[in-house]
Amino acid sequence: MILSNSNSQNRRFFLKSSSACIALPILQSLSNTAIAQSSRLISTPSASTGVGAPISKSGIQKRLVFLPMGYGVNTTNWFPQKEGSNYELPPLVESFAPIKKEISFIQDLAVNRIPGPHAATQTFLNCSQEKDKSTVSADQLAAELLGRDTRFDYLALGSPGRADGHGALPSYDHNGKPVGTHRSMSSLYAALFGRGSDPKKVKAQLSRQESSLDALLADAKKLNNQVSKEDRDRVDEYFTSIRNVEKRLSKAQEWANTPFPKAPFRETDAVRGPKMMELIFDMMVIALQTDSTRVLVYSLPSQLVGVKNPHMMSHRAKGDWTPGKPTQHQARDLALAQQVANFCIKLKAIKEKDGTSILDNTLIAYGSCLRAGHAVGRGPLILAGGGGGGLKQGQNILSTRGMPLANLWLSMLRHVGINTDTFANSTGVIKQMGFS
Amino acid sequence: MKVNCPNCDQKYNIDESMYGQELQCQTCDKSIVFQAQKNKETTKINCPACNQKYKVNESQYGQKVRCKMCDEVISIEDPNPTVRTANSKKTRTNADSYINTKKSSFSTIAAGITVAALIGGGYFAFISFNKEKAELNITNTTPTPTENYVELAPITPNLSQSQTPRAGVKVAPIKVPKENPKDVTIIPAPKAESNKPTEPELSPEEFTTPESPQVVSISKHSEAFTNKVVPFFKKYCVSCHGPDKEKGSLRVDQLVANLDDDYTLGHLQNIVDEMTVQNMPPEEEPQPDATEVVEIIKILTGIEREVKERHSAGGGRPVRRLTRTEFLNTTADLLGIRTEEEGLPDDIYIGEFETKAKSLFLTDMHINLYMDRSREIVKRFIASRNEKPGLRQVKTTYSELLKRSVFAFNTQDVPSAGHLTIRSHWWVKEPGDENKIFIGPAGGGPSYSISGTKSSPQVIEFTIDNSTDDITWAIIKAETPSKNKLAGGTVRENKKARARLGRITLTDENLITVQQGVFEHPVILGKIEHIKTINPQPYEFFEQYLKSSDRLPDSAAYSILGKFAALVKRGRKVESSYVRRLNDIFLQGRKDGMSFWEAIEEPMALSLTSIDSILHFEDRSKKSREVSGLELANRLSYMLWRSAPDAELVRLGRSGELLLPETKAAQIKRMMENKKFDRFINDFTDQWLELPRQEEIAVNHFIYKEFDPSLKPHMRNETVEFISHIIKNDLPILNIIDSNFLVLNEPMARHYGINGITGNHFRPVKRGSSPAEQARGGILTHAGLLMQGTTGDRTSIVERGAFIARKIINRPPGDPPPLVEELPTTEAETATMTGAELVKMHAKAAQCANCHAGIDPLGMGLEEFDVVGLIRKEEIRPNPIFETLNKRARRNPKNRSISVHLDSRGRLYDGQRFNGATEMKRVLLSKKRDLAKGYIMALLSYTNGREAGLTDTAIVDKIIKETSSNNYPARTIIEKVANSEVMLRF
Repeated sequence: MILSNSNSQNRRFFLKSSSACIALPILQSLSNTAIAQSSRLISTPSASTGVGAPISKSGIQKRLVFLPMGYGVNTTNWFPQKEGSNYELPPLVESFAPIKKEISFIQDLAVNRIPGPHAATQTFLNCSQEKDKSTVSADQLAAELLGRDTRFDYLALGSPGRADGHGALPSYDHNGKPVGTHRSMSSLYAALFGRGSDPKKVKAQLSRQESSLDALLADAKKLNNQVSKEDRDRVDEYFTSIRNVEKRLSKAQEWANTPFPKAPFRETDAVRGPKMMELIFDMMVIALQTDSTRVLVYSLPSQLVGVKNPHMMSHRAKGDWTPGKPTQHQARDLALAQQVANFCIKLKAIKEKDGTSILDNTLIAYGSCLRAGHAVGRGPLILAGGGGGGLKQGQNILSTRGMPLANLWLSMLRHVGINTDTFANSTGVIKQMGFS
Repeated sequence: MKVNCPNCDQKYNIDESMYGQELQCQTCDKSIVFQAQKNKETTKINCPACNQKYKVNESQYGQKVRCKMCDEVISIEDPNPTVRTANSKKTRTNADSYINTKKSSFSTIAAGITVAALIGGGYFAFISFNKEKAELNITNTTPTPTENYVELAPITPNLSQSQTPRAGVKVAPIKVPKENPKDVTIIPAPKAESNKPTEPELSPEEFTTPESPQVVSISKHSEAFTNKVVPFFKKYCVSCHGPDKEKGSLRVDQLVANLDDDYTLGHLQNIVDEMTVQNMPPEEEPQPDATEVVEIIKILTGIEREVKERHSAGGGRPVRRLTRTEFLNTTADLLGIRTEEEGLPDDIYIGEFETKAKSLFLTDMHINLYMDRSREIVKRFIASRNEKPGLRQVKTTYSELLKRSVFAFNTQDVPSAGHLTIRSHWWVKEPGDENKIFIGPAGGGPSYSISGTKSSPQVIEFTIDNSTDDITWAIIKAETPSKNKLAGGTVRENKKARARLGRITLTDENLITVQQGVFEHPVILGKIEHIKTINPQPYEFFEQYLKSSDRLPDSAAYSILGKFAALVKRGRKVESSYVRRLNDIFLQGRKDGMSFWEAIEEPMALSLTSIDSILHFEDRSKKSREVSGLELANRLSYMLWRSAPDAELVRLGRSGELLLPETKAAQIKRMMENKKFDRFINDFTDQWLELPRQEEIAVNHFIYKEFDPSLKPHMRNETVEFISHIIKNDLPILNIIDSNFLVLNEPMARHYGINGITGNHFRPVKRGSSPAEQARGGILTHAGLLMQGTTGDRTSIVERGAFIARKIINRPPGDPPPLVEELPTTEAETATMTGAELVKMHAKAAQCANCHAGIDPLGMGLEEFDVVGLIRKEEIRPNPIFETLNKRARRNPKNRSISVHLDSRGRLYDGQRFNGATEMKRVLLSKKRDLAKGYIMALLSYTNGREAGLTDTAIVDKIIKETSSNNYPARTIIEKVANSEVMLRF
């Protein structure tokens, strides 16, 4: 697939994109009323439970970003060796150097199972313990709380096409039903920046769509008694999907009068590879900056420039590092790390009202269930960002001893104020990071 | 107690005396055995002080232990003490787990589905045949995770092994059916020892499965398991994975050769994997010798395979949503509106049929995208309401000499319902330039040569389905085409234009090849005709309403909505309450100030995503488990047309006539004659033979300089056209292995070095005696399939061998264990090894050789073909030391590759030897029955939406039997599948 030289015509769309979001005027990202509202909504965490709050001490909203990546990594050049804060960044993740103090490697977290030999992220966010069923994913739990005051409970973006190396979908609701994602840049773009219609018309249209869904549900319910037990699960997906659409519509109604943020670049679906990722990350920065959402999921694409066949690539995970001559796998690992690091660096450049950066108030989890090839568990994982304070970043943590990955999600959820003691097969929080 | 039939869910009351007996379900005729469920191994407890979690097993109930984290003393309580005392069921221990195996072995004879029941204060049926669960279990290649449970150090002395294990079964609450007037008493069938179970009385309309497949829960390998595996485990594994340690929460002493045993199944794959990569037993422990390991692995994989077969099936036909292709075909056929695939989520996983229900998720994303698409379709449908169907010439333009090498067709004339045909007339400016000038879409794809003259111009016709964008085509002048530079050349990439491009049909035969180049004014485009084809569907739908005027009273909406809903529900009943609701949405729109046609758009679009439009919905509440005529019409239609049934099928379905065997057979014949049957051939072949893999292969253009990537579509089409030919002419399926004809077009013939074939279209030709022709025949030597089994740099003996194993001899190999080393090919020391020497490295590790002995020797047979499917005498590989060469040496293209000696001697699993593809094909022909079996199973998997397995054995064997005398004719087999009772039951 020729990716790079096809874009000459579209290049102008994104020429400025890399700096676009930073060039945006710093928006008053969150109104005081919204903060007041959220604190009212959330039961004040009692000191004994150790559950955090959805806002930082100085009142800045906390955000979570999940970046599941397909396949594993070229392990020897990805995982840092030395435990503690005095470790060296291996070549593949060197791009994190400028923010080394703001990230941590959490190694050896265990995932019990994945549904297929290459489904590297299907159980990443839910750590489902059930054999053929998914359970609720961390992002969806977080969205329930963090999404209350924003236009979107969460924004999720999948890779276009069948996500190579990922498995089905990363996000699941309480019933273990998959939650859809935006699949194209244009769809995310439209959601984030709106279509520029008159709010009144939008409202009327939304309400018609809402009654449409009612009609569909009523019709479907009539047929409910014709469903056999074996098929129940699949038919339920229909009901869940309709209800999810409904939920989103009613939220859109509430927000119909609030103007969308202005888009700094034109809508396009015509870019591929790293350029596409860059634009998507820019949109994510804007989404956080404008407080359109506080929970983001992006299934990173596996096919980047230079990678012929991601599946084949994943079977050649091994290889030594020769500077300037990365293997296919290394080239992909490098490119992904570069993109994620750039995203973090951009977040660091944007200041909040209290002088901290967005990165200081965000937790970004970047990783996979697969270590390399078909090896499940002990996958790569970088946790970036200050999460609103109270964490010990800048470490390479080796001493997890096969702690369940669910512990990380539990830690993050508690940190942003979700009052829970367990998540999937969690056994506790990751104390080494300062979570409580 | 109350139990449900695991097959059909019929509820029964049974009493304890019926455990272990073979019972026959009155509704579905399945044999059922309710058994005592083995207890759960462990319970989880939390330390009351620090909340640390622990796993305890039953032997620890009643004991006191000290928490390792906080030193708190925890007394382990029996979670279900009353239950445990109430019945004397035995726990699984070392001793009786194997007894257990034997005890239940009578069910080997007792055909049917084994159900294990939990015994407790109340009873509840635990259905252990859930295929998906088990399947997931075994595909889970996770090395047993280190759980965060701390092993407990009991304070009280350890219970010794000899102590009677405490009975303990975790009891789940009884499932009380909400309303169950259907409860019936079950009649125990006679014991299996008696000759044959007497058939229970059947009401006449009930179905009987003639040879119901034997489903047994005890592995065929159970004896080997007891004699070999158990002692092996005892010797090497039990010290760490036994009652004392239970590392990785595995206890090998609790594994049994029972195909229903979740515990065993959960661990089998891991054990095999760990032993294969020699992780286990760990280095410091006593090591078994290699032959022993291989034997154990063989037994364990044997059990796994049995489980897989058994659980992949499960029978039935899961309800699923329409695939993207089915949805687009449906709207195209019912409404006359074809829209593009782009924008709707892809359903294809390579290696699976897209119809596989398990992979067809339905999310809010799908609903949103399909709703948006429905709105677009309905908008166009309404917009076309007054367009009379038929052909119309809309425009003819005469053009001058082309000034530039690129020109565009404006496609704004594309009708909403229908397509636009662009007919262009060409000739070359200077005689002698014929066959050197080519045009093709700027987005890439096949290109066409221009060879017309002024007096008889060449006419190129193509079709556009979507409007909105201009299509850019480029004209290229070729240099002297060298031997392999034959297919259409890729012109500059323009994705957007390409995506918009519709079907291309050439009225002229003279397609040849292209190579990029620069030229000046070489061709003349005489004229361009735009011809509209307007589909009849919208016009006919609205005709009754629009006789006099386009202005309709609001009262007409109700009728329109009802009619539309019935149309898109494909004959299913439409509730009037539903139509009323749709009408309300229409009225709301009118109130909001919309016009009649604007307001009706949303409720119409909505109908396309109603539950029985977007799902293959069937009434499954019927006891007979038999589909209705209309449901059959839908099944057949989506099988053979990949789309909705037409009016005739709906009519015959609704009247029930379609259920009559003769009517059904006649309709199936009619459907297979229809052009829509091509969709089946195309999609089935693509997915069965995994042709989309070809797109993933990036051919190394340094080594294969001559290869033009735009030949790829032709390569794929060769295989599709070949299969199409044998299906349409009902030729024996064994032609897939070898045939005395080839199906070729000019680009492919040139690629192979075969002369005398001109034109773009594929046609069957007799295989001649030239070496180039003798090398081909069957599909295995199709260039595309040969390319599929490569990395783009070099051929992959393993991939090619595995393809033959999967598709030809129907012996699919298992997944490789995690983290096996790839065969090294880039290191200097291995770079000069022959393919044969490389795969021999598999044989070095005895545990790898086990599987690869059935794969690699097959792939060897195709070694005489290179990456692009051409015959070679030696293998050309990338030069491993190229990067280390100096700059000057690197500039020499010759240094990019090295050549390696070729060896194409191989062997079939039964020992038959061959040298090269021609001999291999001859040997493979002895396995034509396996090929036919694989083909039938593929058809079943495709139409049922689940993988065919053991439960389908009866139907597969039946068709095999009926068609073997004719050498398994391809089309007859499809007909037989379509006519089979698979299509009639759920």
